[in-house]
Amino acid sequence: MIEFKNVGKTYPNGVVALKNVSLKIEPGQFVAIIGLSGAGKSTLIRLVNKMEDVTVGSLFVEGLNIPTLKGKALRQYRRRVGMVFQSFNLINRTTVINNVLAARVPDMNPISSTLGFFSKEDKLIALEALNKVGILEKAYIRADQLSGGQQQRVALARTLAQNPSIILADEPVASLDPITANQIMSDFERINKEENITILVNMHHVDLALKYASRVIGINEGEIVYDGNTTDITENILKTIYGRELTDEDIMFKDK
Amino acid sequence: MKTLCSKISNYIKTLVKRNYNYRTTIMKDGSSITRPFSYSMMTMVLTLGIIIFFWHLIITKFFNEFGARNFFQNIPNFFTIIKQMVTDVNWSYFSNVLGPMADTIRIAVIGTLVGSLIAIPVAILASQNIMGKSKIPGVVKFFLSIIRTLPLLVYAYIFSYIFGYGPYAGVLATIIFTFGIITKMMYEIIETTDMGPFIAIEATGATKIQAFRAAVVPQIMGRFYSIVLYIFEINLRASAILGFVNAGGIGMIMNDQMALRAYGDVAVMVLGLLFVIIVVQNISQYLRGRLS
Repeated sequence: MIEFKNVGKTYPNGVVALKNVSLKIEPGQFVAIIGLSGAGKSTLIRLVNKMEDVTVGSLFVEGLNIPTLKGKALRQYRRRVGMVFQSFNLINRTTVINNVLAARVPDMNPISSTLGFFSKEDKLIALEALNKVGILEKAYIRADQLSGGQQQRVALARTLAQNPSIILADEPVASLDPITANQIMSDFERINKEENITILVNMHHVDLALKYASRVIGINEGEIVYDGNTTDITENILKTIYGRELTDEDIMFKDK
Repeated sequence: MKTLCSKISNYIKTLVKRNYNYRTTIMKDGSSITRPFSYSMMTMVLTLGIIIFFWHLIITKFFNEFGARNFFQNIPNFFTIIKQMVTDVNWSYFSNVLGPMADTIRIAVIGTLVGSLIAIPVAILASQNIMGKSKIPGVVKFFLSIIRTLPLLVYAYIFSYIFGYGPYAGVLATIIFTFGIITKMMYEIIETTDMGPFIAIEATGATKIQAFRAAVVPQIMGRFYSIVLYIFEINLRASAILGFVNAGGIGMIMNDQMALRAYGDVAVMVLGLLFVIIVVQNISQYLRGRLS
């Protein structure tokens, strides 16, 4: 369970990203965080695995007091929280399987991780993860030779290889075309259902969020303006989240 | 004259003033934007000063003290030596060349190997993007720039007095020279690598060292090898002259034979050196081609 209590985040340059955020996310939920760019979606997600520090308030994940985590405790916690990025963040000059194996490094002994020797079990875990996202046949190809959608799948497989209980995804489909974006989102949906992993995804596109998530959190200027079931969303609620009428940019499949 | 002086000083004043006033711009609606202080103006003035200084130095030293006429008169002496090297080439001296030549190669190999190995951890310590907000990179970079101040020959000269004449001084000097150059090149490469993968691996719970090994090393390794090979070529050429300051290698006997005006012996050494350098250069070029 993820629990925010009156969390505020102010960056060193004075930008207030989040104000008084309180929310609870139960295990196994598929939550989409929507809002304009700059609304604080990314910050919210990055607080969960302590890529950013909470300024005020408290944040508990599975009973751990996140703002106090440091060093080894923080790294152990991060083993259980996967992260997927908009820009995939793959190591381009190496193979797909090596990219996935990189997620096994923290559990390895220093000598074999320095030399790049991975055990049979780790290789099997990596291949299983690739198989789960349907790109097993690309395992021994260099990562930069894949298409955008395939690269994001490798990133997803890398996250699965660390066997997380929570996956955070920061605009995972923003740089993909509509069809590929749909496929990636259904990968997330499948992983959520089959592996029972909590998924927190922030995105700009309303229609994809409504299609795949079971719960939507709307953020406007650092404040939660909506938190509820996907099915309860109305035009008016979307208007308060976005602070304006929806435009073509907010929807991935324009004809819908 | 007085008016001209005041005109110039006024101009400089307005220039400085304008530069400072530029720092904050106030928009029509009253909002303002402040430009952070930049050193560009200072750098420009400094560069100009340095250029003028050296220009002055070259003109006066070269043409007044040394004498340009003297320089042009002595050019033919160079060809006299070349001619003697060709006509008097002394092949029987070849056996004397082999030992020092092996020393030269050894100095270059050991110096490059050890120097570049030490360079790796230090280059990481000097990279701001890996070390985060720490002050270590600044300090390390400062010491590295001190190390790079002295050229290879000066190190060799100093070490030949500390550790005695011979290859030890040469090896040490080459290690330090290699270390200085490779750390600089490597931290520049590390600081410009794509940090996305590093952040992603760190987010899986890896330490900075593990994330560096997994995400940054694959990106930089090819360039590291190619730099090391290139520095090896440079070191091989340089280790030929290390002997001139008694730091071992073929330069030592070359210096002796030059002093004896035995240009025929020198010719054999030059040819041997040429051969080794061409071979090494080709191998290195081939390997670097394979790497990129």
